[in-house]
Amino acid sequence: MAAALVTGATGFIGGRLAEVLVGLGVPVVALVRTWSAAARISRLPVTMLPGDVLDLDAVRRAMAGCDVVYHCAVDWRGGGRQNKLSSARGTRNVLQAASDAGVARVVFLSTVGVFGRSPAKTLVTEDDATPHTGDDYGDGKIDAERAALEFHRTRGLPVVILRPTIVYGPFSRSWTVSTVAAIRERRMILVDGGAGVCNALYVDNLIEAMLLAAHHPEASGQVFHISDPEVVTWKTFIEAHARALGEGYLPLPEMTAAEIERRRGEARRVRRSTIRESLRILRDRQMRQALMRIPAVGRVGELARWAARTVVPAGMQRRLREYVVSATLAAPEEPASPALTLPSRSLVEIYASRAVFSVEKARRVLGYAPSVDFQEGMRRTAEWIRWARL
Amino acid sequence: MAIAPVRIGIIGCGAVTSVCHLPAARAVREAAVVALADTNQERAAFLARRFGVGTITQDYRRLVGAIDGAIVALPHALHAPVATELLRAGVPVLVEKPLATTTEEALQLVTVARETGVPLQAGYMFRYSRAARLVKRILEEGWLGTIQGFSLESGGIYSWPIASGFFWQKAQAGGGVLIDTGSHMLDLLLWWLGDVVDLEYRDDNLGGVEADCWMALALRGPAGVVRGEVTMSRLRRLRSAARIVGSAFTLECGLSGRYPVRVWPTAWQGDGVSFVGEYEGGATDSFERMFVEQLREFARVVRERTPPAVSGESVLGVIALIERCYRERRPLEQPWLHPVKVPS
Repeated sequence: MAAALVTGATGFIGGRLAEVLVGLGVPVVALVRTWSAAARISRLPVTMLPGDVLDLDAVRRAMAGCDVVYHCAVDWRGGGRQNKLSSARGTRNVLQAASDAGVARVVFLSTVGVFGRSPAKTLVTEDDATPHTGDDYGDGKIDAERAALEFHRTRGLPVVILRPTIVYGPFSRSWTVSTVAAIRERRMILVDGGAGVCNALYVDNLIEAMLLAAHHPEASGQVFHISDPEVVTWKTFIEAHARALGEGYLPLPEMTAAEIERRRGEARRVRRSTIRESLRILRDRQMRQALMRIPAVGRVGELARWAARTVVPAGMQRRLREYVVSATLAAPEEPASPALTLPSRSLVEIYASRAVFSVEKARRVLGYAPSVDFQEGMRRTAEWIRWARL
Repeated sequence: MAIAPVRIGIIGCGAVTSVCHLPAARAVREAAVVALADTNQERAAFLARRFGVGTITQDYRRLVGAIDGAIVALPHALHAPVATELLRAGVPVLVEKPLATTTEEALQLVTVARETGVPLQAGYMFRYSRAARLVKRILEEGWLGTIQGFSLESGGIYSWPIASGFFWQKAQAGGGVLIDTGSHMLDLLLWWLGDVVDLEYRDDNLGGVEADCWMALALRGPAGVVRGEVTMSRLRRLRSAARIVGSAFTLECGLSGRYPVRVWPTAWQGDGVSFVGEYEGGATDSFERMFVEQLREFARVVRERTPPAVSGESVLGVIALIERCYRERRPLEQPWLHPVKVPS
């Protein structure tokens, strides 16, 4: 049997794909950028070759003898711009090498993030346009998708683009590990009561879709949205993760997206005026001399800490607390209560979105009929969460 | 008058050399690293520049005559053959763990050391830990009462800055987390509690090397058989601590960070109230310090040609235990793994 090349095999989806392919008896070649990240796939009899998708020669070497290429690599080093550039450049290298090697199929893992974090439409299909949105991750994938379709059109490369949604399950750092961490650290907020649509996708369902995409004769040159067919809200998704930790984490605090945004603005204003006020006091000569007489206040760090505690006026401290401490978690007068960390703006947009990604095309063309429903997906995920001691 | 430091050559320029051995050498006046050997000359040259080492070579054989002792830090499967060659050439060696990947190889190596009379030190540096020594003393002096059981956990998301892929290959590494982390952890347990009587071993290997493993162990010490469990992982954060429960007191030894040793009355049924055991010569320990102590000992061994405290013989037990685990291995349950529907 010819081998399959998996880029991104040390990651969450590529790692699970490698496990499944090995289970099916497919020889797997993994292009490994960071050796230390390979612990999970080291459990498998895969051929690991050193290299980065940004290095065309390394990609060519890895592709020798492979008939299917699953391109799952993504570069999270160096922030968004790096991610965008490597997505486009790395994908071009994979497409170039695949085209030159004449592989039977390339499955490129894109994302529904090509529509931005909060699409305007409530039912998004593959026919909807994907203009750049300014989000580096999504924009990098848009460029990569365009390159893939160009290689298909101009060179006949049999490439399939899959756009998965919110992929969760064992080893999902973005949606399972981080969700559990936020719940455990009491910083999870149900945005708009959790009414937004999650578009959850259990990782094994995505793998089913990838196998279909790799072999279905009609798939070449096509783009498919891949999600679980059930519509799951963020409330259902997040509470299911909380239940995996025990009932003690429910109910979760709720806040509207507008309220979060208002608090974010207020907190920023308070921070600025606090710094201004502290600096004003520290500029006072007498105050500085008084500070320096205290033996503990020797180092800059100590000074800053002491100043934050002492110099910020009590009224200001109360105002500050009002905006960083959740009213739903604890009363502001309890100083030991956990501070509320507001979710990032991009996360709020995702949580608040009501868009559903249609999988009708995948169902019709590929025969995509995933076998793991949300309840079963979460049952398996909960098993893993306990094992992983998240 | 100051004694000239012994001249050390390090063979193998991977992560342990750059992160542990070379930094340790800066702190040990009795030893000077004078040469680095690696087939990857770029890597050797990089480390030589960074740590001010005068000589690099591709062929470690060239170092014979120019060094007083060698540290072997190569892919695991090369430990025994290269160390054997060096011993026969009269060069004392400190061999990184695992001393060898099989008992047969380890025995041959120990035999060569005995026949040639050239010292062989095993790089199981946790034995130089103040914490581990304190535990050993507490057990020997019987503070805990009758030992009733033990547990050991060591694990984290793998992040060791390995410089090559040998580590993930069974043929070169000898195995996964068991032979890597387990060499240290199981060595400590055997050192503390006695020899293996019985075991059950499971791991998550699916045709490569294991990243997570579990075992139930029965060990026979001076006071009889004691049972416990060991869990080690490269995929999840575990407690990184060993706990030994006695009839009077329970002891816990941290296995990372500052390696705290804590002891509390077993009857208290918890660790809410405890006191911290005092180490000899200080209140904390560190990974770095263990390498420094190990190298200091090696410098003494090289100079005096005396047997090291952590000799080749002293680690034969842990090598045999690991080998037996692999032989009797059963699959670890991974209940979240189910077959995926395959398109027809």
